[in-house]
Amino acid sequence: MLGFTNVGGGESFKPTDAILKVIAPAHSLVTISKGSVSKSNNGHENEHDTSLYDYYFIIHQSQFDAINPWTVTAINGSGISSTTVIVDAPDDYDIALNPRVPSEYVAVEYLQASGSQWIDVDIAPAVSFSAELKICTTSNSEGMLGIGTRVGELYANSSSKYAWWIADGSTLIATKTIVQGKLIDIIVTRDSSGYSLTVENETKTMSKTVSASASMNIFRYVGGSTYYTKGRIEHAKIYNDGLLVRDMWACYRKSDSVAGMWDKVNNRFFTNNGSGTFVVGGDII
Amino acid sequence: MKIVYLDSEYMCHLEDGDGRTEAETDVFDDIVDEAIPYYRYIPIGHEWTDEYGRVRHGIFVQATNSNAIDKVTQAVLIAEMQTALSILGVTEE
Repeated sequence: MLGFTNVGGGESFKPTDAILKVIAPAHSLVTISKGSVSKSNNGHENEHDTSLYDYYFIIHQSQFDAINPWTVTAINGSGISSTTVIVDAPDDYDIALNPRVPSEYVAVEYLQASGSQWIDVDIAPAVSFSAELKICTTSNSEGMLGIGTRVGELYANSSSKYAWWIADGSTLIATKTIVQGKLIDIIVTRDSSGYSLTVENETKTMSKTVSASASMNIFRYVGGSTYYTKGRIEHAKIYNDGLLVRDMWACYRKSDSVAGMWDKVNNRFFTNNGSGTFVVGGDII
Repeated sequence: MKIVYLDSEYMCHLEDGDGRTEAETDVFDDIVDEAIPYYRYIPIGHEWTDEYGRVRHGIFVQATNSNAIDKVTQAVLIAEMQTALSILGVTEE
């Protein structure tokens, strides 16, 4: 198990000790406490992935306690998350303080749609809106974010480029070639003067005075026909007039393992509106 | 629809074997066969409990190694493309 560095508290490990690994957003202040004992990561952290870090703490055998739990707290830009854990044996304990979803859910790397699953975001865009997505296709397809013919859709075109398209033929096309299955950051914005599409930090814009609105869908676009996406999504943030109205994260519900997206703004679980079932990526623990 | 064989951990296999259960499903129709062994598939009506005591309820399909899945999928797609190019008589300069 040892192979990590940077242990909170600056202590050294013995085989009779337990290891408490806290997985939390990068650059968190992580603290564990029980009674009068408190340990902090003191800036020590180990990268877990691009957004989560591992914070290790050693619990000595003399501190094992089958009755009184340790309180584990992570403070970061997303707020404060806290939980408790009983440490009573020389084992490895993994604690996830992931603010993406509440404890009744398990965050996952992504939801994957086969071309039959989609989510009704249940909101229409304001004149000024933006959608920040971590999303991709697994095969060139339409409807990644669909908002009706007069607002448009995000899709992967036949040249394997991500693009924003409106039914009157207006199109914004990114330069980079798609790597199918690779989740990337895509931002679509609109205001009274036009649209912009940002794909992995490259932005294209077009002037257009369109104020149309329509219901927003993930993985489905309703135009002359209805189109569905083969793709993956990790999260979607929707802003209307600068206000965050949706902050949705891929996850499944523990009680029945149903996959969907948890919206942190409205404390609401969005599930599949189509047929079949989402495939989920690995647990974010 | 594809036929997969599930072991006691509901991990998928392409071939039958000791202790495996046959399952026919469409959840892998869009997934290359070489990637299927990296998935856990729990059919409806079934449950699986992991080493931490957490229960997954069918129907549940999870990629257990997304990196491996993507690598295998890319390799298959590249091979298919090269085959197609070869049939068309396209050669590398």
